[in-house]
Amino acid sequence: MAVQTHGKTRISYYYDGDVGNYYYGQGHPMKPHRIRMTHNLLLNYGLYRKMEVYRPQPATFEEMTKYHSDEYMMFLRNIRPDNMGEYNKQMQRFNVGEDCPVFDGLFEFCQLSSGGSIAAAIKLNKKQADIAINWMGGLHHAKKSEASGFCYSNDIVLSILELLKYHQRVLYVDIDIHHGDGVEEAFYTTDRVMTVSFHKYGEYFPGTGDLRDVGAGRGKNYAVNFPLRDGIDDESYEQIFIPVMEKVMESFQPSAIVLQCGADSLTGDRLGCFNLTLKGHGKCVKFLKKYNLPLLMLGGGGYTIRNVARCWTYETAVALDTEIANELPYNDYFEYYGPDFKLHITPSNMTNQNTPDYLEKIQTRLFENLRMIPHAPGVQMQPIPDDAIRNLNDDVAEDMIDPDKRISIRDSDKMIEDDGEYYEGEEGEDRRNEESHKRPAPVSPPTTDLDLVKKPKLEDKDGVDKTEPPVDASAASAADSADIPTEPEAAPAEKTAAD
Amino acid sequence: MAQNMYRVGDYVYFEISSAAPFQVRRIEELNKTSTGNVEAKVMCFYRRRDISPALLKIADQLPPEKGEKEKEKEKEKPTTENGGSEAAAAAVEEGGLSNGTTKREERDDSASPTPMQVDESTTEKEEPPAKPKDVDGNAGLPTGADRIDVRERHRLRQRELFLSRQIETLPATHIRGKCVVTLLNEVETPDSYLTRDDAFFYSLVYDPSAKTLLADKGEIKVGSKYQAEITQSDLLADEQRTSDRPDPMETLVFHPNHSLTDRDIDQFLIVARAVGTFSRALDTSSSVKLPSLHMTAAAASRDVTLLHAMALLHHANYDLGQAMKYLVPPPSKQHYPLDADKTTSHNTVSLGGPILCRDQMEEWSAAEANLFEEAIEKYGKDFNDIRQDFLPWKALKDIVEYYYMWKTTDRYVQSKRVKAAEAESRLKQVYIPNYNKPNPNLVGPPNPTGQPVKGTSPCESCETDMSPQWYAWGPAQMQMRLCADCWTAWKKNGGLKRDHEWETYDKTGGGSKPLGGTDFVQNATGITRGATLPSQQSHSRSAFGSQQMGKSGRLVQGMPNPNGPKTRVAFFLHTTLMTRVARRLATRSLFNVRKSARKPFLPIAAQAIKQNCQSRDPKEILKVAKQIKGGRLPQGLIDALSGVRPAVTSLPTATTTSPGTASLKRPVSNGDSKTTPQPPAKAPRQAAPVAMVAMAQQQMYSRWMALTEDVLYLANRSVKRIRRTLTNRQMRKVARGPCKPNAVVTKLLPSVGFVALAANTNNNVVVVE
Repeated sequence: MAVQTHGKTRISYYYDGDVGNYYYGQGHPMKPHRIRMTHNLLLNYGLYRKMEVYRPQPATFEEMTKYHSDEYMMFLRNIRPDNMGEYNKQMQRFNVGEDCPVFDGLFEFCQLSSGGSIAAAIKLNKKQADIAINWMGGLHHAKKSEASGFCYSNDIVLSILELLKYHQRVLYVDIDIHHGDGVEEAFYTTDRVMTVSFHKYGEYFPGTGDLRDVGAGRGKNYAVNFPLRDGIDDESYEQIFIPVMEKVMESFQPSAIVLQCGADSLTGDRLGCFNLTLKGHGKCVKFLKKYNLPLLMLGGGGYTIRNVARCWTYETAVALDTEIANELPYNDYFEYYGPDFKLHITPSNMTNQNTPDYLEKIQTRLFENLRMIPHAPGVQMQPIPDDAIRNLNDDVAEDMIDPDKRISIRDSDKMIEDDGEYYEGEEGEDRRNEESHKRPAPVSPPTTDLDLVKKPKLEDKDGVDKTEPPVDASAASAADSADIPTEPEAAPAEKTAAD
Repeated sequence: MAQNMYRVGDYVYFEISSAAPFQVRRIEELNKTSTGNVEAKVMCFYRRRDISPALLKIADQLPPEKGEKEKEKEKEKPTTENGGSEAAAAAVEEGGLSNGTTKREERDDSASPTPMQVDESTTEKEEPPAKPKDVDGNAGLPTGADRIDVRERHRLRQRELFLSRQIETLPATHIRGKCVVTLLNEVETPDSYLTRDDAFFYSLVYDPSAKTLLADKGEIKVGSKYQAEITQSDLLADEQRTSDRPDPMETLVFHPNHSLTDRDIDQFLIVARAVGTFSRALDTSSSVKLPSLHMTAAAASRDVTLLHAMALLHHANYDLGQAMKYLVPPPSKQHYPLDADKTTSHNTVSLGGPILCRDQMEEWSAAEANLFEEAIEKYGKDFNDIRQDFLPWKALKDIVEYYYMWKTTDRYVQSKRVKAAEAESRLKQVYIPNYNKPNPNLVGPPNPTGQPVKGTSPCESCETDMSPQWYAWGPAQMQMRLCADCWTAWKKNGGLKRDHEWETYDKTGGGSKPLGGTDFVQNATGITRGATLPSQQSHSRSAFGSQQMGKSGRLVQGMPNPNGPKTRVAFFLHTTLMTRVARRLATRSLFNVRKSARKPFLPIAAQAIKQNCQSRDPKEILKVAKQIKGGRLPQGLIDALSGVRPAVTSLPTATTTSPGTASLKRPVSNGDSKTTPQPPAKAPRQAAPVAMVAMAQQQMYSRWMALTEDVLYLANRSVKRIRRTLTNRQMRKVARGPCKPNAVVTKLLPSVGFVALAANTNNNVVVVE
């Protein structure tokens, strides 16, 4: 496993206290309340205090139309339960009404979910977090101009678009029981995003996700679909997930990963028909985390809400490398978890219709497809921290190359954001010196010095009232990975450009 | 044990007829009926033998699925002798387009709305019944089916099913074992199925009413309308990397980069709870609701207090001293971070003294809580309505928050218990023991020893001579036999090991030549079977609808109604005057209204009541009739009663003619519109004068008949005005006899505004007593 010199993973977690109060309607299985249940479990398990917790700004109309069509977003912004009558035709056109009902605060809900995922992606882009989590997101069915499967705005696509600004290749992995059709469609023709979905296929929503759907045009073979049958258990799932993902990582070599953690693939889900437990589901998180690439974890489906909250709590703990007790802590919704009040769930005795033979054959076929992918030039599949550093050094290198260039205030703000962000709201007073608490771990001085020399412009800002040698955030991060090759910083930057 | 446990989602064999092969079904729901029997609501799978040969022929000759390399855009037209079916077959491949749920607009564009529709009446005559060996195509079979011999392919075809979205209800006792049905995947080979018993596959969806086969596949669309715009070139140059998000794009609420230990935080949280307890003691509205100190402490320990404490800690820069001060702020906004409220969406009501954080659970008064419970009983979880009609001063989100917290209370648990008792009828699994009764087709007595005996003729399927049991198979006059193994195989797979001309003999009653394509589901069980409406089938797959088919009202009991779903057959119960007279004249022991009402299933001796009436003096009858009619008795009737006895003897006997109808008022509604009791048919049986009256009334209520189905009655202003002029007594009279020729009614009728929604009289049942 790769080295993490700062000892622990930095997690940014996105949540808005209002999200639990959006209500799809009577009898509708999608319940945003499950996100609040997760939040309360995180708080009472003591995981909350181990993360950077953010409340995202709602995504703006402009941000959402980065992917969605203006008309569709305009419609979502305007429609309300009390004016539905005026929009009959559009409702039909945008598939709003039945599965995707009009409810109070619909657009705000979309804004929160998308705002969280976009902010999380930006956080990863800025290297201010190793893993960003937004359980409000993961709405993978939404199309460019159409709602589908309880999803209105596709926060995943929006966040991937954000990641693509900094990453040549982004990997999307979907372990929801439903096919991630919205995301697959959005990136069906590009080779910069590979979408991998493991889902139930056959007489099941949304009806896409055939093994033979591999992408089109430049994106051919960049859509990977593993069709599954009823009743898959932890063991079988692991047996296919790990080899397939290893192959995907090897052939695609992404620099960032987005993982949709739809919890309807768990056993006993109201709409699902798989037989996974938290352990099997969480193993996917564990496995992808090992690559130490910027990882965006999103929510998704999940309709037995007590199990959804269990699952996402457990997966947050996995992301934090923290063991949590099987005994659930008391919280506002403790009674929901009866009769056992335990974290982990047990699989049912349903039959696993995925025979080993079937799984193996599908896997073989997927491997054949993945072999068609041209190997990404210039970037080796190396242990992990390289990537993080490479991009950091990009910034540094850029400064070196053009020292006379004036960087915008905005940019310079961005550079110090790492230090200052914890103290926004404290106006006038610069107390960044307390940053020393952030990483008490040994900072390897040579690298730090090197970086500091290279960033003279920042010094006037950073130099003020520091209690220890000024540590710029990006520099500190760089220092964190002590084992980076000490090659000239400019080189990797060019490499990126060559991609 | 486990193998006899059947649960929702299992694929099972159902035995509908002892002489026919099992039917393959998937259990969608298991319901316990009032009689204690278990009914299974099942999704139907069709075998090849159940589908028209012409349709199969087209499906089989589809070009084999393209490998993924050539798949894009390439579409080869199959070469069939018939040009029409060629086009239709091509449409099958595109079936995914029209059947996909993802794009509605696309559905309209697709060339043929009913691909592969075959008019059976004509095609069956034109083409001889197709035998499997005539079918050359390998479409729908696993990859590599072209390399296996004819006999194996014949067996493989028996494993091919067609999914239908049709739901029917069958008694669970007819289950005869489990099987597995999977969507065929191209990586599978014939061995994937031939080597496993009870394994079936499907790749097409059959619509029994439209007689179409469609591929069950969605589609990912390509085009600028669907894909995100991505620069295929490189990453954004650094200067472009500025985020488009305006700052601040997020608010930090908490971070772990401070010097506090876990214990520090825990201690601080305890202090926060302690402050909360104290603040509740000071707060009058709280102290009223919280009778004990214990409960006050519990209220102060809710998550909103903890979350708010964490937010204060953050705003205090992780300085415990400062955070402590924030917990007990002075009455000044300068000394309190109001921003912390945004984290918890909690509103700090007043500053000064210990801070009080309350969630909706605490905010609500006992009266409001009662209102809420009343409302939820009435409206269910329609919070918009609840807010509008019960709690208009609450915000919708507060109601939702309260609802989710209310669910943790004892009161909810109690209300749920009532619901749980109701839901008990819905089962998750059911135990069906192995079925051991000998099949009627068994030849001779059961052979318990299992010793093979020689049959009268070799097995039609495997040609063996020896078997422990022999079964009669094929048309009776042919005297054909199957060995025990082949009989089981025939029941399960719907075919013999070899191609046989009588393979589908059971479908034609064994007499004529085998023919396929008839609608085979016999309603042998007498249980109503539902069918999804054809118009809805194409839309039936929704993200949760597909699993809940039927729950959302998509399932219709009884006959499919072309006009749309209907919950029940409308009927109009008309009691004739003579029946009413007879009832009045009956003695207590013969007819006790109260007793009958209490025990609706207790049979009523209608015949005796009638006889009792007939034996009375006509004058007495007339008297009673006058009591009922209030002196306005039609002259014809008076004549009939006073003079002609036979009129009385022909009292209508509708109730006695319908066996199984215990109550006098039980409507005869067998769901079959064709056999609906037609009042005019009754009339000739009555003596002339009575008949005349009946005819006159007939006209009146035939007018009503047309409207009895889902009538929306609109009282316009003039009707309301007329109503106001009526006395209470008149009003009651009109209400009791809505179709009586009555001065008031005639005055009313012209101005009455009726809107009949579905003016389809087929399903109306008028019951005449």
